[in-house]
Amino acid sequence: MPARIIFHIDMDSYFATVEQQARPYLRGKPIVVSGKEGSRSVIVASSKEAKKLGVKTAMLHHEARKLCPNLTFVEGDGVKYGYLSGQMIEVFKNYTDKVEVFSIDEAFLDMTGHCQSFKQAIDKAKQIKAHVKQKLGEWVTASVGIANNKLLAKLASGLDKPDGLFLIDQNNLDQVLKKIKLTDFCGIGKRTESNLAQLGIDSIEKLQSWKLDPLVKVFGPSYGNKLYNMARGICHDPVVSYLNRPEAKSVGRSYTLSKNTYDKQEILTVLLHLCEKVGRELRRKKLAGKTVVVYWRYEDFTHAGARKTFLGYLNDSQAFFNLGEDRIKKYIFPKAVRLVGIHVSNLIKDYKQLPLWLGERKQIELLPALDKINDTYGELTIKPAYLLKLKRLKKKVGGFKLPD
Amino acid sequence: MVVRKKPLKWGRNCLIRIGVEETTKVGQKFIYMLEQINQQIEVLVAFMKGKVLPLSFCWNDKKYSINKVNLVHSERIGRDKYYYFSVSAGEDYFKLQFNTENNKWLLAEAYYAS
Repeated sequence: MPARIIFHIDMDSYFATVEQQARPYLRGKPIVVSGKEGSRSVIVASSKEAKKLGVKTAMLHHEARKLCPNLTFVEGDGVKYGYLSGQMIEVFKNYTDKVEVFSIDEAFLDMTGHCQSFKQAIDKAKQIKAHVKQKLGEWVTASVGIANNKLLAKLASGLDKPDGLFLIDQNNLDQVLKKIKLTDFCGIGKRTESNLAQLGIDSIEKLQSWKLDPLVKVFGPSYGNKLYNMARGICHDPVVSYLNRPEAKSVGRSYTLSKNTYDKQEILTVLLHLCEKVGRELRRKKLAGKTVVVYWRYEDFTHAGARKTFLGYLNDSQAFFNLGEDRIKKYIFPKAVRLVGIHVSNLIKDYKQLPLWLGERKQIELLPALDKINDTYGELTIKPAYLLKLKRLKKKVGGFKLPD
Repeated sequence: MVVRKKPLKWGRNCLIRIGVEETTKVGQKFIYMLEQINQQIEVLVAFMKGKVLPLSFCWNDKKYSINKVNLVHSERIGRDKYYYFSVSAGEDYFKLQFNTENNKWLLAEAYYAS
């Protein structure tokens, strides 16, 4: 019996297949989920048919259109994907209580104790695949990777896509490690690949030939050790159950403007909207933050911003906005701005503020009442007058998250 | 085979036309279009195994029998909870919205032969 049995379940072309499931007329066609065609958003997901033609995630619209002239653009629907992800997790919870949600469309399952052997694990994986299909729809498929640790399970799920099932055990481990590229491992990106290439390491075999000490010397104790183990298919990371999910360390929002601008009024209006969203999320999670970063990105992708660590903890949107407003009003933008964002960190749970001054107290006592109105009648039912001119920010297709 | 390309007329009661797609069926020529409708409709439903199953609805003086519910998802806006049913009626596709607060059905979008 293997020491651990870990599943990594990854939905195939998730957003695109969900759209094809909902709208049968899109099935079998190359489609991409993105913003409106011609907008500045990038491709978030492409269907299996589009992938075959070379259309990839993060491509620009015109690049994708060049590769596939009859490509269909579908606007993303984050609410739908989040809801179905929740359904998917519910399916997984029928098989084990140790489910780690890795992203909106993938999860790790610790099946140790639920399967006695890898043979049983394969049967269980087939059951889960069928169950997902039954719950989400016949067009939605998942690929499952099985191994004795998270690193290899994640690698395995990508080796037989789409609708695949791949097992990595002691019998085929060496064979698999010989076949794959360094970047196939979760944790080795383009930058690490280039750093490794400078050392003459361009394959797993070459990485295996390096001893631990020189790797630690170059990459530090933590990542050096990780690379050394990776090359041998070793990983001791536990599956962290959704029940033991760590608290958020920061809360942030950013928004890409419809066009590059120098207009401070427009930038401030969007920033206030983002501050409202961040403040609402903090208050909903009963959190407050001390460090606030307001930032903006220029047309050439360089950025600037303001950072302040307050003496006390805050979750009032207006206080966050005041920092941004103060800095932006004094600032002369050297280049046009394309993105605005806010980020609150240094968080504390269950913080109760006791303001000294009457004016502050009134503002703080007002917040729960405003939140209650927005909880009942929908976001931004009651909002600062400053936002009256602003139409609701267009729904973005990136950064989907699971419902709380 | 693509039928022809000329501007399509707005459908009756359509608020926004968000896309056009042209296709044909064997021996017949149809123009399909995806439209946002947002129009209140009446839907015949069955309650089965703790679930709501839309069976048919009327729109533009025509009865559509639903032969498949492709996908169901829900959304909460304030205290209102909305259920969305992506359904097929023959070759046509519709997205129906049900508001549990006032028990009203809305035809949200349609992809149908005009």
